[in-house]
Order: sequence, then structure tokens, then C-alpha cells
Amino acid sequence: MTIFSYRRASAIFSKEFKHILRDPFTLVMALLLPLLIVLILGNSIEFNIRSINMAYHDADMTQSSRKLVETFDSSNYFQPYLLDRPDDGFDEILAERARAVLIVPPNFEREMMAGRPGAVQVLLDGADNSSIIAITNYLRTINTNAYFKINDIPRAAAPGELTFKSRYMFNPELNSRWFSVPGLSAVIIALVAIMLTTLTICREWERGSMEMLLATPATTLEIIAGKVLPYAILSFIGFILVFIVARAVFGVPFVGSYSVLILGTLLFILGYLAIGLYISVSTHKQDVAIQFAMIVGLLPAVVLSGFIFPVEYMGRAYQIVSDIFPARFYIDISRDQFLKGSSIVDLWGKFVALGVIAAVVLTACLTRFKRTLE
Amino acid sequence: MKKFWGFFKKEIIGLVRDPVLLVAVMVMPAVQLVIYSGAITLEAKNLRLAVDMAPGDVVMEKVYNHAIGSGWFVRADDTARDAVSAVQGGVADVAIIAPTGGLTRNLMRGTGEIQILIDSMNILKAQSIEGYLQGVVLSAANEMGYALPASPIRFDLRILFNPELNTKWFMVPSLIAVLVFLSLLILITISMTKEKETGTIETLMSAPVSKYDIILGKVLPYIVVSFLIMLSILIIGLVVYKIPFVGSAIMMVVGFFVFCVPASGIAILLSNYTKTQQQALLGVVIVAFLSLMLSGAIIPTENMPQLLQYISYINPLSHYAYMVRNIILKGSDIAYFAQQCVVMLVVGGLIWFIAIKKFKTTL
Repeated sequence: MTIFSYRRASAIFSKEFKHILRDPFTLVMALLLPLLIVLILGNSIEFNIRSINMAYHDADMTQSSRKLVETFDSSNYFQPYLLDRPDDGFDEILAERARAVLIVPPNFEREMMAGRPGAVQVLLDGADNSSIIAITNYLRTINTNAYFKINDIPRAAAPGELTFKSRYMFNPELNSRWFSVPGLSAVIIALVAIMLTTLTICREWERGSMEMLLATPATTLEIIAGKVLPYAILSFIGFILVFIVARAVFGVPFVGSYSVLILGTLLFILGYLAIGLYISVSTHKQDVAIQFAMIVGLLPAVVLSGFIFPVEYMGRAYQIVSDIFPARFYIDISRDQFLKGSSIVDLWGKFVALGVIAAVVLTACLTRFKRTLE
Repeated sequence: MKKFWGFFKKEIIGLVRDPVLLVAVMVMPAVQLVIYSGAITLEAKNLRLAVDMAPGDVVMEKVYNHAIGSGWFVRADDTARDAVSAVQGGVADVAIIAPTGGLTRNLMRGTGEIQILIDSMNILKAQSIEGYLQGVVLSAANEMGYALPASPIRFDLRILFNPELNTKWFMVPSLIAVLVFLSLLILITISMTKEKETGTIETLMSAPVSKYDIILGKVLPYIVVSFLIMLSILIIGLVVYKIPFVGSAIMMVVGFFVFCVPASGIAILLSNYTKTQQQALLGVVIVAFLSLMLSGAIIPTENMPQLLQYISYINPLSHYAYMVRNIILKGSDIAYFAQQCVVMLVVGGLIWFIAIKKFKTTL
């Protein structure tokens, strides 16, 4: 008996494929899910925050103080609204009506005209993680702009002054879509791959039909290959859909090579299918598998992968945990191929990591599978 | 009432009898809390900095050393030819480039401009890098007696509720809301669908109980379980991460039960359409992922397109996440609390109305 028979594996493959086709809900979900998520999230993920609600109180009521508020307003970052009493600022933030409060003291113009730094008070909502960093960055820009506006001088560096000029490479306008959409494809594939495989195999165990499969002459490897391949194809179709949306709808540039991206995608799908398989082989029960699938599928792909939060900022222990999941490496490859276009030689470390993870987990699956039989 | 208790007991026994499931349900949220609250940080660290300067450029050297000394930056491998190709080749996240002739000489002759080159593939990193570098350059210039770019308006910054911008303080309240939502959604939907898949739902339906008994018997045990989950992760947050709980415990409890109305409604609604656990899981993932992303817990909602903003207005998770954060960190504004409760109850009522209408008691 051969170790791997193409004929037996393809029989299991076509059985599994018919299962999928017969269940329109799963099929539609598996294909619609990527489209839905990428369309909604591609539109919604925006890190360049505008229109931050800002309450202000102007006790100075001079041209200078008005110009200061105007600078906030015309920056489009802030949406100032008038506050009657300065003491209400705290309550505005407490009741989630404002993210920031600006309080201009009575002698603001007098100080400015006298050449002393005019002091204003700014209260920020420290409980809001999504906006605070952006707000503190904006304040710096607004400060300089307001100074020039109030003193009516054109912007030019004074002698003996240090200035900076920043240039952003690969995403010059800091476009949020260019950043989020290439990462999203990783999250979506991870979800589809892990959810689908985990449960199909568990269902076979639960219903006892796995024993029947095992009683056939098909080997472990053939069963696994036949069962997993249809889901690999589904995941890959999901990837293609996301890619088309990224290019056509969101106009994300693609400067890399298709073969590098596709190779990375296939290795990544293999890794996540293997993880899904491992969960199902070790739990055998759908409800337990669901819990694990959520834990190793959804959240690490979102949180530990660098999809939003940079992995480099995390502590050592967290970086090690994030190394276990393929998502981190794939997101790097995907972003690189979209925006930068490095060659496979530059990215070899990430490819090796993807390959090693997939190989290790697959081997673990095979041994675990055999042990279950004995 | 007696019938309902029968269901209630059956569900609880079913859960307790399966130790693996019980552990997965009870312990995993706590593990997740620990992992994610530690992993999520936006404070820069380990940014690789490359530099282009001529030897003997004293001011530039000072700037560079200040940057490395700040703890935000580390030296990039100097294998690349120059700073530009270091960023290009991915060896460095950011490069600072002295003007031709050196920064020191330029400053003596007039003004000195440092060029900053930032890899912006990750825009979150890119956004913060400029701010950090400016701070570094300013302090270096200050120390050497050079003039700074004009900023004569002094912003007296006061950051309320989380003065040190501790990321854990941000994340734990949001994570409590997210994990509670996830467990309610998964547990109820899956338990409902499991009855359908194994066919035991037929036994339930042929029994002399109303559909309300069935639904309540399925929902309430998991609300109890989720309440325990919330308590355990809240305690971890307070004890391990020393998050100050400045609000009212009563509001926290009331808020939880109010949130259970829309959350369990969504679960029942979802389970009306699913026949297998695989379908249920896919449904749960879509609902959970989209609710999470449109909740404002991770990504700000202010700039989303109008249509998505409307969704986030009725998204129960969004209201609950803001509410929990408001209670724990800010000390709960009563009017705000009431308003959030009303929204959740109205949305929840609507969801339940549809869910019960669609709930089939016949086969």
C-alpha cells in the first residue's frame, strides 16, 4: 500500500466539497465574510482623527484668544464648542461630550503682547485610548500655527534655529486604508481557515463518521489532505476577493510581486489550517473547539499580529507569544508586497517562520491523530 | 416557573459535567485579559534609528545620543550604505539626516534643518515617531543653547482619569466589555444550535412548555456564567493591574444586566438562522468582529462614514464599552449612565421582539 494515494485523497476531497456546496449558509458566509469585513472595516479604520469634540472657555475675549480658537477650528482636527463656565470642563469629559477642553485665562493677550509665553489650560480625556496619542500630536502643530497666526508673521525659521522636515516613505500621506487593508486580509484568512476546519473535523468525530473514514483504506495523511484542501481553496478565494477589493475599491497600490505574495498566502493558509486541525484533533468536540478557535483564531490575529498594535512595542514575553502565530509574519509580508515590494530574499526570515510553524503543527497533528486511534 | 427551573438546572448541569468546556468558558477570558491588556500598547519602544552625519558634527551626535538615551529608539544595524537605504531596506524604522556641510556648521551660519525619514508602512508607528523625535531634538538643542522652533503658547496639559497614560487602564475596561459580549454570544448561540444539531430540540418542543420557557431556560444560566466571568476579570484588573475603580459597584452590576438584554437578544436572533454549530460559529464571529471594530474600543468611531456611525450608535457593545470605562475610570456620571441604559434597552427590546417573532416552536 502506498503511503499517499492521490485517488483516495481526492475521493475524500470531493466528498467534503459536496458537503460545502450542499450547505449554502457556510459557503455564502465563507465567501461573503471576507467581502463584508473588508468593505466595512476598510471604510471605518481611520487613525487620522478629525472633528474631536472640544469644549472651550474664553475668559480673555480678545483678538488673540479668538485666533487661538480659530486655529483649533480650522485645523479640522478639533470641533470647538463654547462652554459658559470654565468649571464645567471636567463634567463635559465625564459625560463623554468632549474629548478635550481648552480654557483661555483672562490675561492671555496681555502676556502674548508682552513677549511672555501665554499660558492656556488643556484638559484631555485620558480614559480614551483611541484618540489621546493623536490629540497630543495635533496640539504640537496647533501651538506653532496659532503663534504665527496671532502675531501675524509668516512662517520662517529664525536665525540659529533648529527645524525638522519629515518625509514619510511607502505611505507618504499616512493613508489609513493603505495600512489597514493589507493587514485585514491576514485577519480574514485566519478567521475563515480556522473556523471552517476546526468544526468540520470535530463534526466527524462527534457523529462517529470519523471512525468510518478511518476504517477505510485511506491513510491519516490522505484523510487530512482530503478534508483540509477544500477549505484551503475557500480561504484562497477569500484572499483573492480581498485583494480585488483592496485594489479596486480602496486604491491601495501594489508594488510587489504576485508570486511572492501568493507563496506567502499559501504558507499562511497552510499554517492556520494546521492549527485548526490540531484543535479539532485534540478536542473532538465542537463546543470546546469553538472556544479554542475563538481564542487562537480571532483575538491573536487582531491583537498580537501587528494588525493594529505594533508588535515591536510589546514586552519580550508577548513578542514570543506573537511569534507562535503565523499572522504576524504574514501581515509583514502582505504590507511589504503592497507598499514596498521587497524581494523574497529580503523577506526570507518571515517565509521560513511561516514554513516552520506550518510544518511543526502539521507533524503534531499527524502524531496526535495516530495516537487517538490506538 | 417550575418548568423554567428545570431548564435552568439542566443547562447548568450540562456545563458543569464537561470539565474541559467549563475551564474553557471560565478560565479563558481571564487568560485573554492578561495577554491582551499586556500586548496592546501604543507607547513606542525599540524603534530602530539610523543616522547620516559627518564625523565631528557635534550637534548631530548630541541629537543622536539623546534619541538613543530616551529609551524610545535603538541603534539600527549599520550594514546599510546610508540612512536612506537603511529605511528602504527595512533595517531602520526611521533615519535622521544632517544637512550638507553638517548640522553644526549650518547652525553657525544660520538655521539648521534636520531631515527625518520615516517608514510609514505602519502609520500608527509613523505618527508617533515624529512626535518623539521632535521632543528628543528639542531637548538636545536646549541643552546646547540653540534656539527652538517658536512655541510661545504654553499648553498646560492635564490628562484626566489616566494621567500617566497607562495602556492597561485603557484596555482593561474595554476588554471586560468585549469578553462579556463574546461569552454571552458564543454560549447562548452555540447551546441553542447544539440542541438543533443533535435533534434534542424536538424533545423540548414536544414537551408541554412554552417557547418563553425554552428561551429563558437557555439564556439565564449563561447570563449567570457571564456575570461570574465579568467578576473574575474585573478582580484581575483591579488586583493585578491596580486599576482604580472610582465609580459605583451598583452601576457596574446594573449595567451588566442591562447589557445582557441586547446581547442575549442578538444570540437568540442569530440562533434562529443557524442549524449547525459551524454556522453558529461563523455567525458569532461576524457579529463579534464587526461589533468590536465598530465599537470605538479599539478604533475611534468619529471619522467613520455616516452610515457606519449610525451602526455604532445602535451597537450595544459600543454603549457598554463606553459605560464600563466611564464607571471604572471616571466615576460614572449618572445622567450618562441612564442614557446609555435607555439606548441599550430600546435596542435590546427591538432585537428581542424580532428574535421571538422568528423563533419557531414547530418543526
